[in-house]
Amino acid sequence: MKHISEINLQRLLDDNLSLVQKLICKHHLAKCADCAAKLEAAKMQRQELLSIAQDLNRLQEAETALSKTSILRK
Amino acid sequence: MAFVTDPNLLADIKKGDNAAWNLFAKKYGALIWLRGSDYHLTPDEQEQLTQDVLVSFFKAQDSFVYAPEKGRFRDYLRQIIKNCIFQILRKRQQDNNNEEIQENTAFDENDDEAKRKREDEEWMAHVYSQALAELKRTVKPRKLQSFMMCRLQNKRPEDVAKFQKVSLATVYNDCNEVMEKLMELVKTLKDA
Ligand SMILES: [Zn+2]
Repeated sequence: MKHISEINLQRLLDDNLSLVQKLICKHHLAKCADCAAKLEAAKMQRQELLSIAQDLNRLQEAETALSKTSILRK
Repeated sequence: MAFVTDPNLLADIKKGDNAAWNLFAKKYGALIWLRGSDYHLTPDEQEQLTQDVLVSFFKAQDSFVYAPEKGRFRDYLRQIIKNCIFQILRKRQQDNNNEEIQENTAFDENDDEAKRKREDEEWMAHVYSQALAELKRTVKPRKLQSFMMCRLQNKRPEDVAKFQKVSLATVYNDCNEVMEKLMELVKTLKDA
């Protein structure tokens, strides 16, 4: 049984597969627990990254504020 | 206690020059600053906090030992920041005798779990920031941009492909490649 590639899992999440590919993937996912788990993990990883992105923005703002102080020495 | 996770940075700090100070401040300054905002410090106090924490590191430079097996740097950092915040709040209280005891608010036990969670999230953001900085040096800018637009800014891959004038397949390949490298770096950095 050929598993779904990581890239096709990502494409599936974005609904970026052709109708035929999508049907093949869905059919495979219905009987392969490994791929179903990978899809779930990929979905979670995306959510985590978006949440981290918010903190990265806060960190960036802190860096900007810091650069306006005299903490960095000349 | 492992105070510093990077042996090269440790060597620079021991030299005690401004370049080492700046290196350290650039690496951890924003994280310290952010921690101050979680405790509702004023901008002036946040600056004071960052300064105090960095000075504490430098004062302790003689005892800096690169020994990761003895403890995590992030736990040491957490503690030293907390101590410095406590000092700042105590000073605030002394400066304004009429004010309620601020540290009771800032270090409210009921609030501890939420703060701890926040600290962990901020540490992870710090780790990702370090990892992305490393990727900037090693990965093609276009690939990194693809990844950042799709995965961090939540842009649609087809829009990114159009923006970069590449195929959709290229965008997915790039995202995948960067993701793998990023995860590898994060794994190395996160438990420091
Ligand atoms: Zn499968």
